Order: sequence, then C-alpha cells, then structure tokens
Amino acid sequence: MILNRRRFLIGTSALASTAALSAPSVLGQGKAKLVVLGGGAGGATVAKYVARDAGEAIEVTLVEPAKEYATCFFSNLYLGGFRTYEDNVHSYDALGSKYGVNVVHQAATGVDRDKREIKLTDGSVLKYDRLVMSPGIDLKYDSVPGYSEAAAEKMPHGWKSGPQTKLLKAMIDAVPDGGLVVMIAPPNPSRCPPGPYERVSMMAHLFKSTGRDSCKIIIVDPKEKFSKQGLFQPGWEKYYPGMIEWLSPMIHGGVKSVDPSTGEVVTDFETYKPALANIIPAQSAGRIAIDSGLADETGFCPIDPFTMKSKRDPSIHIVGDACIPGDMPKSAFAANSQAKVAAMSIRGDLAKAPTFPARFANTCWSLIETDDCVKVGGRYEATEEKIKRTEGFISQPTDTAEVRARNYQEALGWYAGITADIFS
Amino acid sequence: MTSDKRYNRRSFLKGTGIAAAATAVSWRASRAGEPDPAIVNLPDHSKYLGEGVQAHPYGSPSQYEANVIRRDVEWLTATRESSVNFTPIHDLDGIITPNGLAFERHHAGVAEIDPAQHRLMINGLVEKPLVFTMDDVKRFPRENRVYLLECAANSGMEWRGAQLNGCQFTDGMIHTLMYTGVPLKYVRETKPAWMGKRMRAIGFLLRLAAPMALVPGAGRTADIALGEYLAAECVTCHQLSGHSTGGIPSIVGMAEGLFIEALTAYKRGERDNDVMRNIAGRLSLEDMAALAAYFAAQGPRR
Repeated sequence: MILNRRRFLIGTSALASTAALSAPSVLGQGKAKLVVLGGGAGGATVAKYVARDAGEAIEVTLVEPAKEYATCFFSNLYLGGFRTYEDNVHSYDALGSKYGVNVVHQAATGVDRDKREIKLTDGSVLKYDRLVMSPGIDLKYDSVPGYSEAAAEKMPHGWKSGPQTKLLKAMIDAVPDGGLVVMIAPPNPSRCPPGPYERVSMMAHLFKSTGRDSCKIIIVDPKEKFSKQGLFQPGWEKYYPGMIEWLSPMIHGGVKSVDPSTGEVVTDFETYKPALANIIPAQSAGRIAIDSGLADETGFCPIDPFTMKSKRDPSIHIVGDACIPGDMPKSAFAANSQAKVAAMSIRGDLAKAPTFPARFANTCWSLIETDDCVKVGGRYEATEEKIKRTEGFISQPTDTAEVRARNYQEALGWYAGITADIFS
Repeated sequence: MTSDKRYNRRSFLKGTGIAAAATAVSWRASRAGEPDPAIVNLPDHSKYLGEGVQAHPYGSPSQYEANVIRRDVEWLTATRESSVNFTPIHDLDGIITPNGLAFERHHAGVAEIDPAQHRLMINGLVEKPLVFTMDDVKRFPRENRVYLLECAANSGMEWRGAQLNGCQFTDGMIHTLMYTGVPLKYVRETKPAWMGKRMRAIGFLLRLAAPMALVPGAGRTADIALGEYLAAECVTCHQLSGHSTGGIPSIVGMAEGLFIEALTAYKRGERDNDVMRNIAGRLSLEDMAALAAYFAAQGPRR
C-alpha cells in the first residue's frame, strides 16, 4: 500500500517537474513566483500554506485591495445581533510577518496569460510562474430587472462583506414593528446556498427579541426548493409562527421589477412596498477571472478536480466561489479545502514537494434561533468528470435541543478554527 | 447391585435433606405443615431427557450461571477498545479463575493472534538472534504454574471516593490462572550460543515489548509528510495553536493511541458526531497513524 502510493507520487512529481521546466523563470532566477489574486478563504489559505511549507523555494505575493478582511461567513450572526461586525474582521499581518507572504493592497486590473503578468491599479506589473485566482463572486445585478450597483445603496444585497453588510444591518434595525421585509433569493449556483434562509432566520430572531413581533418577511425565490428546507421551515414555524413566508416561483410567477426610487418589488403575483428590500441577484465568478477568459458560459471557471488547475490554463489554479466545484457548494469551508489541494499542487510543481491524492470536505452550519443550529456536510473526491460527493450528512428534524445547541458550539469553534487557519 | 446403589444414594440424599430441613425448621413451622415443593416435587431434569452430550462441543456455563460474566463500565474509558473488563470475583469460589472470566485489559481491542503465524523472536543484546514458531516452542518440556495477577490500577477507581456499585468493578482487575509454558532457561540450554547474563535483560525486554506491539502505529515510522497533508483538513476546525474555542476540542499533543482510537470510533459510527464521522470515514489506519504522529509532535503531551 505504502509502496504503491509512493510510487504513484514519484510518478506524479516527475510529471510535475517536466511541466515546471517549461517555465524558464523557475530555473533562471532562483525563487519561483506565485501570485494569488484575492485574500479570502481560498486565496489567503493558498498563500499561507505555500509560503509556510515552501517559502525557501517559492516567493508568494497576495494581491488584495482590502486592508483587512471581513468574513462573509458568520455575517448573518452579525445581522441577528449574535456578533459584532468587528468580530468578523481579520488582519493580514500574520501572513506577512509570520509566513513571509508579500501582501500587496491593490486590485488587479488585468492578466496577460501569455506573458504571465498581472497589472495592478497603480500601473505596476507582477510576473508569475503560477497564479491563483480566488476573486470570489461578482453580482449579476441585471438578473433582477431594475436592480443595479447604484440600486444596492437603497436595496442592499449584503452578499459581499463590507459596507453592504453594515448598510443591511442598519436597515434591518430600522424596520418598524409591523414592517415588511422582502428578500429576493438568488438562483443556483450561488455563494453559501443556505445563507439567505439563515439570514431570514436571523432577521426574525432580531424582530422577535426587540419587540417587533408583527414584522413580516417574504422570500421571493427563483428556486423550487432550497438548502436545508426541511430544517428551516419547521424551525420558522416553531420560533416565528406566521412571520416568514417563502414563495416558490410557482406562487409568485417571477420577479417583474424592483424600483429603488419607490422601494417597490413587483412580482407576477403581487406588488410589495417593503420597509426593507434585500435583493440577492444571480452571481458569477469575479470579474477578473471572466476577463482573463477563464470562465465558461455558466460564468464560473472550470477546473481540473485533481489539482484545482484551470482547465483553460495549467499555470493558473482557481479556488473558492469563482470555480466550478462539482458537487461542492460555494462556501468558505469548501474554498479553504480546495485551497489546500491547490497549495499542494503548486508546491509539487514549483518546489518538487511530495504530492498526495486530493481530498475535499465541507460542512455548513446555519443558526435558526438561539442555540438551534443545523448542519449539512459531505466529503468529496476528485474524478475525471468533477469533484464528486461520496458521502454526506444533514441534521434531522428529530434532533434533540441538546444536539442543536452542540451544533452551535461546534460552529463557533469552526469559525475560530478556520479563521486561525487562514489568517494566523 | 443396582438397587443397592440406588438405596445407598437415596439414604444419602435423605440424610442431607434432613440437614437442610433442620435449618429451615422455624420457617417451615409457620407454614402450617405445607411440604416444601423443592423437596417433594419431582424436578424437570428428573422427568425429561437433557441435551445430548455433544450439544456444546466447547463447554459453556449452565443457564443458572448466566450472571457470572465479565463486565465493563461504558463511561470509564474513552473507547471500548482501549478498555478493561472485570472478573466477577463476588461470584467465584476457589482460587482458579475460569479462563472465560479472567479480566482483560487491552489498549487497541482484542488482538486475534493465529498461533500458526505467531513467532517468539529473541534479538537485540544477544550473540545470535533466534526465532521460534509455536511448534518449535511446544517441543520443549512444559511446566505448569499458578500465578495471581492483579492490575496495578486495581481499586484505583475508588481512590478519590466511591463511584462504582460493586466489587466486581472496584476490585475485579485480578485473576489467578494456571499457565502452561516453557521456561526460557530451556531455550537457553538448547542454544549454547546464548550468554547467561544477558538472558534476564532479554526476558525483561520481551515483556516490555509485548504490550507495545498491540498499539497500532507503534513500532513503525508513521508518514509525517502524509500526516501534515492530511492534517490540513483537521485544522480547518481544530486549531494548530492548541487553542480550543466553542465546541471544538484541541487535538494538539494528543497521545497517538487515543487519537487513533477516537478516529476509529467515529469511523465505526460508535462516536456521535456527523462531521467527525464524515472525516474519519475515509481515513485508513495508515492515515490515522500518520495524523496521530503529526499532532502528537505539534505540542506538549496532554
């Protein structure tokens, strides 16, 4: 068994080093160059792991415009009043000071794949031997008629962490008792599939715990069903009876338009004038990945499941929400998991480090009400076709309160764990 | 002759019956002369045929001794494999513990050892290393010896106050067995190359080595590079710094044996956490040993 695997590994690293030979700069100038675009759960993890394990052989540069990172994961708990915004903010300092990652706080404006160069906003150019694309998502504003980036100032999406999250929180806090909230949920594939429904749970929790029992939340969903539906809906009935209404496309007949000037949301079924419209449009890979020609007609980037390399350019790895992760969801957990496979592949290519078969895992926890947390997860393996789910689990409607409370503690532990894994 | 024998046995039985009745007299008197059914009724075993003599090719206890068994305490140890069961000392008479009731302590579950594959190897501080099969060993003269063996931790569960409800649990890590075996001196005499003074050291080393061999992963070098790669999956939740937050315990510095046992229990579905079952489900024993070695090396032993 051991011998077999070792032999397999020797075989793959031999292949990998031939690939690396085709990159002249690797041989010519000492350290190989890795550039990572995007400092989220995917990109920052790759940067840290490559720098930590192969820092002598590989120079790692992380390009991320934000000075510090506010996680999108757990932002719902901020909206629900379980955490402060600052609880979700993390510094990039340790990546530089502890692991020697060169963190550049700029945005990338273009990638020249032939020259293996990246242009930054200040006009400077970075050369790379390997590039990691982890730009996350871009929002397709025009997927909702009438919606736009400007409209998001009145009708926030809150689907990328930062000012949008704070704006959404302020608007939730301002909803009067008896006020109406309309959420337009996104179509698949989207970041954090259970996220919209946990968010609604958190809004309801906040309304209930601040004496706004007569508020109402309507979810206008383009999907026939949604993640953990069998757990969320009984939870809503139990804790927030009558407060949350989920409308499938069969009921609402589709979104006709939204109007930021009047605040109206029009469906085929009804016209709403909510106190808060939370519009989460369709999504695609981050702009830079699409502009670099790495995305397909779905708007996301196809990858080789064994290495996370782009199917269109073997010198580029793509991790996180921007890639097409097969059966994996778009989550921070998944991005972090993919990042470790990419980091191993990169170290194999550039530093001739031993490589092992790719492994992927994911778990998503969602809070429905205080101490009632549900989870869904799975493990995955690389196949020629895609990253394939091999096994999984989901919370049961019959779980005891103790199990659900334990899930919440587990989620808190996971958050501390993954953020330490990425940033410290 | 036959009738004589029967008569004799009957009269013997009558004799004992009288003795029994004598102790029961006061009790019987209060029942207004009702006869004892245990004495006057013919029991089933006198009326019907019992099982054939070969019904149990390997002897098993009578149904009336069904309660005379070893027992363990589920919460006492982290897993059922690295655990102990206890001799039912309160139910035993005489000094020899039946083999099936002798307490057992294992660190990695019960090892099923095929005698045909078993080897006695003597190496290290010797001039000539030797290996014996079981058949080799059986060719030497045997000796029978009775030894009492008690776990050094027997009664330990009571040292900080009573917490178990019977002497089987508090003091049952003890048994007396008759061992049949071959003294090492015979082996030495047969192989003159052996140095007498070193024999004691070897005997000691053998005893030390035996329990270690039961721990999976011990005695071979786990693959640290593999462990480091696999660990990347663990540290998404379990912090490499050794800090513990919320419901996620630290696994840094964990003893390797415990680490492997815990993962095995998740893999078998004996421990209850979906995430851990999911992760452990695809770990081989080799993976677990590599992970255990990696995390054990990341911090002080806990």
